[in-house]
Amino acid sequence: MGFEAQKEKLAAISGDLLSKKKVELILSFTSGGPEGNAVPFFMRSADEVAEMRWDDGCMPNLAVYLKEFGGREGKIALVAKPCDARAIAVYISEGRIERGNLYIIGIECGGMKKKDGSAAQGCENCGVRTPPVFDVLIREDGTTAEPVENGERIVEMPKKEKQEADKTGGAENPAGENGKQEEKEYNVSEYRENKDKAARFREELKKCIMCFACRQACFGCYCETCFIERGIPDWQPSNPDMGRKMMFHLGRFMHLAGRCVECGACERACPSGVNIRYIIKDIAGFCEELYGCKAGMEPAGVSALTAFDTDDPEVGFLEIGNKDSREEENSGCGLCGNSGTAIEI
Amino acid sequence: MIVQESRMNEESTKKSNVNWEPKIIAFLCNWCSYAGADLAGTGRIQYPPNIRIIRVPCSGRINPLYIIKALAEGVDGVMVSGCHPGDCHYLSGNMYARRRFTVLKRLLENAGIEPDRVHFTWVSASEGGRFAAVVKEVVEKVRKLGPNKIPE
Amino acid sequence: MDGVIIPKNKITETVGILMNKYRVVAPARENGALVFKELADPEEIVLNDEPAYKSPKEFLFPQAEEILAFDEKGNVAADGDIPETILLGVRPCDLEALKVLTAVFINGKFTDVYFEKRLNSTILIGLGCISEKPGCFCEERGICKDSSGACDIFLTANEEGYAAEIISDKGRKLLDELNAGGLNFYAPVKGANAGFLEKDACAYGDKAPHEILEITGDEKSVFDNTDWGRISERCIGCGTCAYICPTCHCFEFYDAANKGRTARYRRWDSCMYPKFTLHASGHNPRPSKKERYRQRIMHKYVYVKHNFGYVACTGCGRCVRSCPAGMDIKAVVKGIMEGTWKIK
Repeated sequence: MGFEAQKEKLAAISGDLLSKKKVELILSFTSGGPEGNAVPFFMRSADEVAEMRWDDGCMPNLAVYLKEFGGREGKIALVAKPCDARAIAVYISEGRIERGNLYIIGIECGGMKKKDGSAAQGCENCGVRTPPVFDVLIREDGTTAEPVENGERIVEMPKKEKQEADKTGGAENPAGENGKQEEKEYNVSEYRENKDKAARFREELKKCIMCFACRQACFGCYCETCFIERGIPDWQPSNPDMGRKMMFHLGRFMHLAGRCVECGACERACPSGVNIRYIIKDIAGFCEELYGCKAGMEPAGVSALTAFDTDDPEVGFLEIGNKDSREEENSGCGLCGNSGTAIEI
Repeated sequence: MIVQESRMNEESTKKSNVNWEPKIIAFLCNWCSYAGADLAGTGRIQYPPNIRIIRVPCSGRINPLYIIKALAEGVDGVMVSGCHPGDCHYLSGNMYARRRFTVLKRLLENAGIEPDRVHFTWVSASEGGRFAAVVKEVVEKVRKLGPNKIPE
Repeated sequence: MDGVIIPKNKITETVGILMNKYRVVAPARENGALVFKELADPEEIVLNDEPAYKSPKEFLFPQAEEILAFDEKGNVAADGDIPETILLGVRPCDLEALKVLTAVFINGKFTDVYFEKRLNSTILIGLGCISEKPGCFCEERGICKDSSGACDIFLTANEEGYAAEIISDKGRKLLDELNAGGLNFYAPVKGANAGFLEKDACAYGDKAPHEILEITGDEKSVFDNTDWGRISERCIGCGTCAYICPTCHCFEFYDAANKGRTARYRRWDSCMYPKFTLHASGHNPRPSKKERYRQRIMHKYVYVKHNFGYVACTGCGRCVRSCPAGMDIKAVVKGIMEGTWKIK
């Protein structure tokens, strides 16, 4: 991984942007905290560029800070890994930020790693190596690329390359997606082993302390008042413990369905180590499979649930209700089941 | 500390399991499904009394959170019915609903809620008999699954 | 101060005997992480140098607690019984933090009966730390990592096992009970050195008073002239810090109405949440995270010190370790004192 080469280029670009005052602020990474983990870094002057860091531990999703910078006057820049760039693309398609105020330094990424060497949360099976939206792209080998035409270029990875990425990027399972949609299980090893879904869900929820860190860390959760905090309507079920947790997590996933970019920020932020991401990961794959919508791959795109197709598949709907009886019975109002012939008057 | 929540009557019947009848919430769209249910009523077609109907203007109006909350509160099954695709009174409401409910069903399945607890159908205003048949089938499916254990 | 030595091989037996009479809450593994939990089996206990990532405050101040309940006929539910509990393995930082909670809930003008009942039914057994973990700064806060008087019995690990120092009468009674039950812990020969543990009561650890980490100086000037915006930039407002902090104690009430029973619950809240100070009029005096983070630091280090004389941060380091954005309260306070964050 040409991290060194990329870092040099990144430092050069950042230094240039700041010293020529082209942007007010650059969001990137540095080391911090008691264990020296990568943390977000707000650079405002060219001499801070020396403290910047870019390597395979840079896990935080920087797009989440755009929640507050969205309406600003001045231009800001940020270092965007593919997942961050997808998040920005979702923001653009939802109208949350002014594209002109943002300078995206896209950077190709083959997956981040945790301290113990295993793939970081969200990176296990990511097949997206190139950010879908950027103003300048730093490739894996450190060379730069300009965007084409109007500033956006989507790079769809061909299937073969994707499998390569799966092998090198993820430390856990090898790639292997079977075709049938009902039996599709995504490569999260614990999910495959544990047959009892209800028990697994409950076990994970038991650890949850409802601190809402996952919600705050998620770029997709930008509602001023989250549904779970509303008094009118009051979404909290009577059971203040498991009921409330279930409501919050399932409700949040419904709001994120078709928008989640699988960056793993939720799991990283969780202080209790709840791995609930397997559910939304499956939904993200499901949406892609059924509707061809992968969140954030096109800034002008729509997300899975904000569009429709007249012949969408109806997976799991009641058969008896779907059978359009108006065709079967050529007349008769369905009351008594007799298909009487129309009486011509 | 887990706080115990008690619902005296229901808990006792659920525990004894003798007289348990499934409780099903049905969200029906006003223009088609509700009219269809009404037609079943005027036509004196018998169907199980286990459903509690909530009328909404369009199936697209149904917030998936309603269904999740209903299940979290302990109803045994949820049924949603709207106009046939292409016939929506508001043109495309049921189209959005179709996607939403497909995803919701998958989400609930992943969370361990039996897929047979939640059902989506299309029933038009003239299909009184079919409405009754749908309800019968939903009730049977839920009855087979037993009471909803989620609140516990 | 006197005490007994509990040999290493008798720990599980001791815990087992305690579990017969009491609810024993001690560090144990749950899904790989070390937490304080009610033991189901004496073998579960983990007494080593690793810090539990959550504080034990939830056993005295539960995350969701039913305050009162009544049904349709007007019958009010009787208060539940609190089982006699032993909180075992509480570190000195957490013990100091319990002092803060006691000051808030009991020593003020009004007494919180729920907290008081739980505290009175609990026997605290402390455990000293051997090393400082990444993020810990208890010594800089003036707390001794290997001894504390804020409990009933204090355990210090040594070669033979644990030296259990009796601090209070409650502790003495417990040890007498155990000894009577046939465990026969032995008391060491009382040496010539001061104290049972051969060290002086530790007030400031190795640091002299002027090296303690705290905020001194004019409150108004710290409030106005510090660049809180820059300090709090990275914060994502998740509230994790408040939930795992052993001294944080803010709460809210929630009423849950249901057929047959309506209950009022008290549950944890956090000043880091955007809606924490939302008024009914719609005005929010702390609209952005800059104000909220400022409030957190000022409350812990300045306001309580000026009003009540203590500092509500014991240097346990949990917030530093768990923050997803890398906020570091120790670095912030140090920076304020060194003038790094002064608005130019």
